[in-house]
Amino acid sequence: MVAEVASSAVKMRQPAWWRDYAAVFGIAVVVLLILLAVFAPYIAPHDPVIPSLRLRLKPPVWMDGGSWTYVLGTDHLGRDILSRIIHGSRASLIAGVSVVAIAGSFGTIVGLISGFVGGRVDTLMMRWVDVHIAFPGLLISLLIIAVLKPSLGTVVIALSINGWMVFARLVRSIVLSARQLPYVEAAEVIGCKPVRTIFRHILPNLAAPLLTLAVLEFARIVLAEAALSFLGVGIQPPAMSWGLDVASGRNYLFNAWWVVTLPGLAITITVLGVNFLAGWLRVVVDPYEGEKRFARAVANREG
Amino acid sequence: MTPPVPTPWLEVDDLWIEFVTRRGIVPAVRGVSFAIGPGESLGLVGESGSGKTVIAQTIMGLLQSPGRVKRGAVRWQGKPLRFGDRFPRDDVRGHDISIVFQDALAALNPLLPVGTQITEVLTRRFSLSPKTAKERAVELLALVGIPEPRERVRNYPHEFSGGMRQRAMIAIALACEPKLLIADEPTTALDVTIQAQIIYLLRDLQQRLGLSLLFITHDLGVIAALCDRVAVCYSGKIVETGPAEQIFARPAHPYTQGLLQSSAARDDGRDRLLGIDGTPPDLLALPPGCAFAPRCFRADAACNAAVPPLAGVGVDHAAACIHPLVGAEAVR
Amino acid sequence: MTPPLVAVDRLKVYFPLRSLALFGGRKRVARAVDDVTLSIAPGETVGLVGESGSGKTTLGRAILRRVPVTAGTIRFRDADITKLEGEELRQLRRHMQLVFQDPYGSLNPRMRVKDIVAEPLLVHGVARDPAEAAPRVRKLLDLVGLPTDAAERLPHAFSGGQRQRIGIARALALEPEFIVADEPVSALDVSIRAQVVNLLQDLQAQLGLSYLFISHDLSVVRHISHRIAIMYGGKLVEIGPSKEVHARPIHPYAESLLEAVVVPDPVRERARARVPLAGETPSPIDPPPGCRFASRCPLAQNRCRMDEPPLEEKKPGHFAACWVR
Repeated sequence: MVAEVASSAVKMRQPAWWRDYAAVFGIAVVVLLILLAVFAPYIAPHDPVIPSLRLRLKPPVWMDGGSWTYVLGTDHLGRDILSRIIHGSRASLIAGVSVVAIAGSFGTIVGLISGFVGGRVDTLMMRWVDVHIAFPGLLISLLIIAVLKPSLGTVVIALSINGWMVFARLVRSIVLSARQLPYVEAAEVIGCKPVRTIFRHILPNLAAPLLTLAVLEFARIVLAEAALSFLGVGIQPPAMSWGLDVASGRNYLFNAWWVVTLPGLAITITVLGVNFLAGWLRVVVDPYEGEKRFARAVANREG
Repeated sequence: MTPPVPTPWLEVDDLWIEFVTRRGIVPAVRGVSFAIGPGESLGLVGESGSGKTVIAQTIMGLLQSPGRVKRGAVRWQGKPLRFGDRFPRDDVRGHDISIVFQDALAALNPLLPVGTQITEVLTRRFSLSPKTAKERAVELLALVGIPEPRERVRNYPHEFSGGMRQRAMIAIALACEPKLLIADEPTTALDVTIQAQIIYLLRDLQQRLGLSLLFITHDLGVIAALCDRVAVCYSGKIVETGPAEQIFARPAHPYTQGLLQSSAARDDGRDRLLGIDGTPPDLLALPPGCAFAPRCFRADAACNAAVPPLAGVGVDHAAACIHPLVGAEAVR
Repeated sequence: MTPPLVAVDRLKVYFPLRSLALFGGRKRVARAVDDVTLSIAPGETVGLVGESGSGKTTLGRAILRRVPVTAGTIRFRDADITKLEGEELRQLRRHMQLVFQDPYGSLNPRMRVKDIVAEPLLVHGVARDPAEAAPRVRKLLDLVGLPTDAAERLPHAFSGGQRQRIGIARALALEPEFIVADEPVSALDVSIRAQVVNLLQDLQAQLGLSYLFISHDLSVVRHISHRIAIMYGGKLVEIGPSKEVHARPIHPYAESLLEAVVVPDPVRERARARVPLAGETPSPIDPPPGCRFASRCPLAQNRCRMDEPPLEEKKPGHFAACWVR
């Protein structure tokens, strides 16, 4: 209660430009992430996999002994950290996009069925969701990975299995409230068949909230993939992942902090940027929010 | 009814209020003035977009961004009231003036028993002891006609029916012993028979407690039942004001006449309902002259040239119209 | 006498309530519509008046087969439609339509006016594509008094009264014989109401429509209705010719309802020693035996609290359910 009041007070005092800069930052991060992942082999200055013991634990360029050849330094096997971060972005992007796509589609379908069919089917499906949510997600992931071989594909499967419930719940609740909309009743009264009612009148209401949720989930998946890889049950070498790099560098934390910190920073910046993007999307798709921001901006300008 | 009073309690003087939106600046209230004396009841009548609710919010200091007062003053017993800050604390609002809203369920705190919401006011305003405050809360609930008040003080708002909730709202508004009660469409959401109960209650309270009343509504019938004076709002301006009997019997502004005809319960059975053609103007694109001119059957070039000022058309009766209805035309 | 277009016979709509108790607990039902018999002739308007919880909206929805019927029958042009399902029910939509209360919520904000009005034509195969529907849409918009350029715009560009016209155009697209108008003017400004009410009346004269005009506002209903039906607590308590019900109501509730209407006339309002009807509108859940109105009725006798009064013809064509009158 107190925290809620405090946070809303903070929101009120937040100047409007802060949100805009946050949005610019968010968009920039996401665009950069996509470019890096797609063009990794062309951008990366060095081969990210071949070890070179001669070059191990070189510091970044701004430290004593650093050089422009290895801008962010090298790791314990002498591999260029910048190149590994660039290549590692692929795992984050692939995991994020595929899990959101798989879990999002499955969850949306379950939510649609639950919301439309209602009755016993709804009860059954929602109890299933409840039970699934009550089960510790990490445990299920570890179980799945123990059965299947750890790899990027397995990570995607494990995270999808844990990630669809939130989509199902959101979609169901929107469908239930959309069905009460007078214009949806109007569609039924004029004799629209259910399929048309769903696609023409109900589904468009899903677009905005689903988009925001998908973006937020993407950020969560990036973190989860890194966590699983860090624990050694996710992506396996020689494949690359930021979580993996953090894990492999943790023994050198005291004499070569950059090996752990820089991939960690990549994770942080990505998650932060994606969250800002989600915040911006929420404002863009909600006309009321936009109107409120405008009034606030005017009030600020006039002091 | 009430003779003109030399020193009014509430004075609204040339009030201009605007809303800043992305589409432009909406002039919601454009130079509204009126006064309410002790024991007097004024009905502010208007349709959606007339600015009547914004006026009430501004008097109570509840006007929120994006709305702002551009010009004008609100005075209580000659002393100007401040507005602009989000909720200016002063010793008038919530003391001498209090308000009853249309949506009682939204206005009441759902997490507190109704009794507590009354005693809160009492302890803040009069520093009563908890025990005395509770006694007084029971008295207040009895005053507004809630049966078994001793039991009902412990109830939460959701345990009350719509009509009872509105009564509880009125009890809370009366707790600070106000001199002026503002009622913003308090009966609009209620059933007809329950509305009749609330009107009866307000009339009774006004007489017993000597309250002044500012009653805001779109319903001329409710005004007829409760108010001595009427001010008719259209697109942010008062277009006609005067004693209720005068205005209802001999409207001078064509809009007032149209409104009366729209809501008239005529006794000739199945017949065509009378109304006003067209729709109220977009406040962002007001016509240069009289805002009602595009819908008015009497409008001519002069009406579209300049905004007509309020001008006297009878004793204590003014209308903002270049061609006011006079003599035999001034019928409903 | 012409056979009725719509005939409702002993209709009951009960809603089961989910009990809050986890285990056991008595199954409770809300009797939204309880044993209502009503018929509407071709070209007739029946005004259905009641307060919140009276069951008037549920009755309207039940006739349109939008809520499950517990008991009783609904006939349309002498065919039993109580049990229609699927495609047959969908075909019924061509004959009976609904005009909504909320002019803002009842139009899809993402669709252009022409698509809203054309939709019924498309889903019933009257027109194959929007282009084929266009001339008909133009005619409909003209019929309800909207400018032709309205077709290309989105609903938010229109005022409440104009939106209600769009809703009426959509309801008329399939040329239905019967329209349920559920509080069609309650959400509109007073000065605009007449436009919509008069439009509905003109359309009736032109197209021979029948209306069930639902409202809580007696003063609007009496202008448009041939007969007025008054509901209270899920029961029909009075029905009769509009003028008769207005001038000489029989049921004490009808009388109180008329008495409660405030008129814009300060002289009459002040002169009236108003003693408003006390009490609350009743809950439809587990109603007591006897007349639903007995607890608020100034004339109630013992019998009223024991036995339910039947709807009887007290005067020619004027029915009421009251033991005392």
